[in-house]
Amino acid sequence: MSNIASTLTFGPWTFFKSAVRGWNQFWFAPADPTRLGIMRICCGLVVLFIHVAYTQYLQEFMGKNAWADLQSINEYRLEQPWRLMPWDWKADPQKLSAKDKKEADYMLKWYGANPRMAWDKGYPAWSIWFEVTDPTWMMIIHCSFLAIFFCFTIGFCTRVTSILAWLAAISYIQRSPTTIFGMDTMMNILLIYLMIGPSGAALSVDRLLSRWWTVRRARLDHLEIPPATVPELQVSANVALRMLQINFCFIYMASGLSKLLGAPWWNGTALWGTLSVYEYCPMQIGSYTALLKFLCEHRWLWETVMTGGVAFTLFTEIGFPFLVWNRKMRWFMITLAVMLHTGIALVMGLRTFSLLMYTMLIAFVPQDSVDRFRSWLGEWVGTITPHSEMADHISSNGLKSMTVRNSAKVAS
Amino acid sequence: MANKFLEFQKSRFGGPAMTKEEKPDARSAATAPNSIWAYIITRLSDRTGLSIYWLHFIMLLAGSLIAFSASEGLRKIGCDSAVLLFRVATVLSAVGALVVLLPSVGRRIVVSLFILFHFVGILTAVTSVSPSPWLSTQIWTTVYRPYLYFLWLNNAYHFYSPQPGPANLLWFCIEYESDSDGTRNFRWVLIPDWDDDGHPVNPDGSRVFSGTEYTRRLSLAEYTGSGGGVPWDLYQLIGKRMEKGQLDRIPLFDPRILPYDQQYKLPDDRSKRWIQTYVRHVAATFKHQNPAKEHLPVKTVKFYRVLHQILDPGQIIQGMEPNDTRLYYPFYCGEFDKDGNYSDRCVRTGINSEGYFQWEVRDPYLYWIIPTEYLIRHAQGAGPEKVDSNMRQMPDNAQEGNESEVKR
Repeated sequence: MSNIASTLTFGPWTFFKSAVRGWNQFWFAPADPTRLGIMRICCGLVVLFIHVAYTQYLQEFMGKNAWADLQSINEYRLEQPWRLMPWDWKADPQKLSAKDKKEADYMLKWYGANPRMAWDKGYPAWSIWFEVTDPTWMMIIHCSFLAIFFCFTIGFCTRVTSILAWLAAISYIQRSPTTIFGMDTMMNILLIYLMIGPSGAALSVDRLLSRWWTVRRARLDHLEIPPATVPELQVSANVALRMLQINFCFIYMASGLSKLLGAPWWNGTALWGTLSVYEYCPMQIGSYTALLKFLCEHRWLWETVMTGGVAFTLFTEIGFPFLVWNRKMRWFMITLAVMLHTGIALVMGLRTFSLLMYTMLIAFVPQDSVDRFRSWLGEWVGTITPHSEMADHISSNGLKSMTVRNSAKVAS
Repeated sequence: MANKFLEFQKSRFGGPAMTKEEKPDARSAATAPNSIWAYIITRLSDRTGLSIYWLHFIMLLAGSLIAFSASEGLRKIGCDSAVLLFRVATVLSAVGALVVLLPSVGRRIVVSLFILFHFVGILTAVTSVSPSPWLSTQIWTTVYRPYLYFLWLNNAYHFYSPQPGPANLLWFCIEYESDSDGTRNFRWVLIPDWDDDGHPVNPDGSRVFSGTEYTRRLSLAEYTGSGGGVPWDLYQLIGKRMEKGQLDRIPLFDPRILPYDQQYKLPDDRSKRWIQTYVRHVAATFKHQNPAKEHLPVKTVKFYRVLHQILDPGQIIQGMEPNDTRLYYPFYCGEFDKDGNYSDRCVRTGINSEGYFQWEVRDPYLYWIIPTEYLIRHAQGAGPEKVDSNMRQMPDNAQEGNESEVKR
């Protein structure tokens, strides 16, 4: 009887407690924001480039008569019908007749979709380009956005500019959804998580300015000038990094598993479909086409390369979400992912996409490597103290703040 | 009252207190805040004596009120997208103001719930693409769609799945008003296009600024190709197509290379709408290539969605070029006026007397592949009229019946 009682007491309850503890540790242990700072710089540079490239084609992609013109995009976001699958086993009526002229007009516009059959219409979307269509004003706003991206990249007023940067980037995406591709998707994901986390807390102008003001204040108050310290460990930094890591795993898992639906990914020929597409691959380069021809002339080699490439892709994409959490496997998986995206950049021409994927991978880089990187940067960022030595540093300075206590806990 | 509230907050939350003296994380001069924002907040805290949490609460509440006022102001001038943004900001700021007052455990619970909500949403986005589970589709449609669309996190990440396919291209044939002497005026717009060195170029012949813009143009074409499947009346469609083809001397594509059922690709309704949209852009943007005829108004636009087939290893060994015209499969997707409406001789749409939508296809070529060697004949006609077009002469591999060939 007492055994049963102890099982009931310790079994589920202990499991629940350890699960809560694990959840807490995973999501809410304070983390160094330096990785977010590095990611902000990398992402910011790519975002800046992507949007500078829009400048010449602003009207073609965002203007009133763009490829997806204003009339169409407004109809999509305000009127597009969304149908729901039936809640029971009854067959859904395929079509309904129009009751009045309003319904008839709607049906003409949406190829017979009766508004009464729609679960909902449109979708919520924000874009400044829905509201501003005058070319001069569009260019002024576009240039302002470029300035925001620049401020975000250097980490100036990052709390504000990170939000503005996302609002600006999403404006382009929502306005012209048919011109976006994987690169925009990854850019958006990065901007969202860099907005959530304190991405300006390290490697930023904000931090330099803050340091400068602190020193100035200490001098004015005739206090001892405080030493430069590493950025504070922050819970929000960990939340943002973890969210990014989990989202990255979703991307790889979905990409890998969905490939298993296709026969070419089973018979090992899928890679050929990415190596020989005229529109994406560098087929105007003579040596590249010569290499393809050489491969084709030696079937055993062709089959080995194609099957090997397919196995590599599937292993990397499906294996990454499981193996990257293992400390011993982490660098190996990161290296595989870097190789995969280098291949995508070189062969398929998706260079900015790959740069953003590299940026995402920084979220998985171990803290001690970040510390080494910071040491390498040295005085330039205002600190040379790695986190492993932070507890000593903190105790020697006699600081008592909550964050500092957390830092010591983590460091220990 | 204020003291009571302070005591309640201390006993209830065990965390942030109202005044600076009671703050557990009061900073000394020895610590440097991480950012300007932290610095400003610290200074404000020093000046006002309020804790950082209360300062955040007050600021977020004020932000919420400002965002609400802005949304109301914008609503009056009809900026619906900006109204939406400010309403979201209102709610987020108000919720944030409440959350900062919660004790540490409460904040963690709120954040945990948000994380769960967020990633269940991502999971529905990933799994609601066909073939998808019923549950996922229903949850995505009813719960997550607005959230995911607003953040644009709706991607299923099914890259190159189920298999890498050929690239989609957009080919438009614009016909302008004819000259007084009967000369018919055409301009072909190919998206994307390349120069003789293989570099991507704009329709005016200038080089594309970056690979990003080039890829964006390739993305445009992807949205015209959803749908497909073999139609139930395929045999009737083949019959009509052959009959018309015999009259015009435009035969079907060789079924030994591509079976008949794959020579017909019906786009879904969404793709049809995007095609109409693109046609409007082309008609509004591109003038006739002859400067003397730039003023001519657009009469019709024919659109072809082109699948550029991938070379197989055997073709590479045979020496076939990747841009060989035989590798281009143009699917004819309709003739439109400058406003993107189907021309009467192509498709007639309307609501019949019983109130049902009617879609009457009048052009037997619609959604069929047109062999490239007959493309010019199909688009520009093969009559005795004079033609002013930006096409070159027919290539060596073209067959009988061609007057010219698509520029490649």
